[in-house]
Amino acid sequence: MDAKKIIEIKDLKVFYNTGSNLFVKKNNYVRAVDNVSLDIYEKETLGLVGESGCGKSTLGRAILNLRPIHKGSINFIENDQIINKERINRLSKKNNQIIFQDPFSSLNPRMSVGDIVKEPLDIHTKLKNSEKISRVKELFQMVGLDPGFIYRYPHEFSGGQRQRIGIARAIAVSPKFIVCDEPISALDVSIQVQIIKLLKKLQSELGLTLLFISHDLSVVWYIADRIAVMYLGKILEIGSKKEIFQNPKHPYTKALLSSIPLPDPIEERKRNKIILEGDMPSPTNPPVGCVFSTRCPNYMPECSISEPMLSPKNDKHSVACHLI
Amino acid sequence: MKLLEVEKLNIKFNILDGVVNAVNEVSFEINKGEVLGVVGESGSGKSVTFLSLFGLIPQPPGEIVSGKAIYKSENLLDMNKKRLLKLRAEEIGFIYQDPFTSLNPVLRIISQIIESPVLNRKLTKAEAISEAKILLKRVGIPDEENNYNSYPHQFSGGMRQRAMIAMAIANKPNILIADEPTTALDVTTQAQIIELIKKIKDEIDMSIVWISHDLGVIAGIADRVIVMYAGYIVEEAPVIELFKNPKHPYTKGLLNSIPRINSDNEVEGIDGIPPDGLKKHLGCPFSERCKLVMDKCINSFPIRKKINNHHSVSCFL
Repeated sequence: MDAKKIIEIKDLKVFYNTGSNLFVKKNNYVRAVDNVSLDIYEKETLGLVGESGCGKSTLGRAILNLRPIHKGSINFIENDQIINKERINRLSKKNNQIIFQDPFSSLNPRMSVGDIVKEPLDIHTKLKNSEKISRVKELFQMVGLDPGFIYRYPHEFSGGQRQRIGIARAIAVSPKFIVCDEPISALDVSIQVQIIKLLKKLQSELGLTLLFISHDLSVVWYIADRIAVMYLGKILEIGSKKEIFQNPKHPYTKALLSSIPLPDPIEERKRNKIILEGDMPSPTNPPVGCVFSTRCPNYMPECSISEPMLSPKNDKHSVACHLI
Repeated sequence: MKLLEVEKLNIKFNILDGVVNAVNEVSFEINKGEVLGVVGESGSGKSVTFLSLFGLIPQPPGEIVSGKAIYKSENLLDMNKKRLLKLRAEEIGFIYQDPFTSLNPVLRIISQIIESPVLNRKLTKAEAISEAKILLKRVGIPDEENNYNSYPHQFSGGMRQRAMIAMAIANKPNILIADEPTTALDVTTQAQIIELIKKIKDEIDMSIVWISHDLGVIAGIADRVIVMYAGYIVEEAPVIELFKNPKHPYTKGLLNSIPRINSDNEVEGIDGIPPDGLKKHLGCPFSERCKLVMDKCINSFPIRKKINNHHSVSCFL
């Protein structure tokens, strides 16, 4: 890949301490992100998919320094030089932004939407107030909102419009990298399309790099260039969009793809679905060996002894499975 | 054979800000043994329609303005509360969207399942418990780790939805109303639950109303589909016909809003936002967002017409 690497994640572990109490003496950890290594390249959209509780949001937030890291490192790279995140926290916050899932709780109800979008400018720029306001109006136009709305409050807007406000806030200080944490899953189908189209447009206009976290694989197909599949804190498979969808290797990816309901009654009834049994095990006590071994249809004894490492199959595709 | 026939149902909600016409002139039927898919976005009136038929919307603020719902030659809308309660217990099953809030958090799963059989079929507690255990096994909750004596919070989302299904089918209903039963679940769990409901439908002969906003799910399970928008039924057709040959611009827009995997076709989507329930429509409710809008769409309402025996659409085109 000739694209420039901008973020390098190495052996990242993010654990949540569930604490000890009267009944539990030893500290218990929720292994939300467990030994994840990942590179993100300039101007790409990396889709991060997985079921709820697999650690995908935690990974996204850890990259933005919104979650403490247990072990491992996250390096931002500029002109082939590693810039340490802790040292230049403010710059890192200017360069890296986030769009949240819930457009209702992610906007302060007591601030006008203009002020919400202006806040990052207050913190990161030294513009005059009039300049900031004209920038806010410009941003409103970019995300398809009437600039006359800036004195209104969040409750006056619909879910789709609020999500546009969240996007305007994220792009206000011209970041390079944006984590989109399930940005459309709280919206109606017809509105979802408007928002992903907007994100796609802004990405190409502003040259953004996106980490698009979602559980909806058809949306990921539409927006992503590369896809990483997560399960129980680990990345099981990563590759280009075409490789993952047309040539999935990991049994979990196969099951995930086969569970997407297709909007075509004839196709949908014809195909053979892989129905997984049971639920995802608890991340406080993950299975020994491969994390997917308890539900895997192709289980072998080896799977519960040693853990398969994510290893490259070709230059566009890596899989963590003993079968491959 | 028609099991339930609804005619010109109108429901409004009187709230502080005004009147919301949630359901307008809705007519449809449910046949024996079929799966009726109901598609629409939030606020389109799909849940209200079905909850109101069985007396499950609070009145006030809700108000059933007019309409008829004939079930076994009785009008559901004229029934008194006691009769409706009995009917709901014995002949109708409900599965709701959110398995977390629709189970009682302070009662054991098994106590919640035996409640209805004990009250309505006058089973003894022991009989009901042994029946409930068979039921739970059938919906895929194995009898291990003292599962049956667990409380809802000890179950995962998928398990809770399974428990709710067990409750819904405990009295072998004629109609199962499934209101977005898989929306809160992950895709792999969703696939499990859909498979389970299909299996149960084959075992006990019941009709299912499957309310969803996900056209993919509807494509897999429904026999016939009604599409709702702003409280109106805008299109009705057998499932294959609807997906192959959609007529209403809203249906077409919805189908174009889903990115197709392994295809590079551009998704089109629908411009604008869903209508405000407080606003009254003179013409077609979709006219504000429709790409093919004509003058008469704004001023007069398109009455639903039949295109052929099974397919009807509410559009001037």
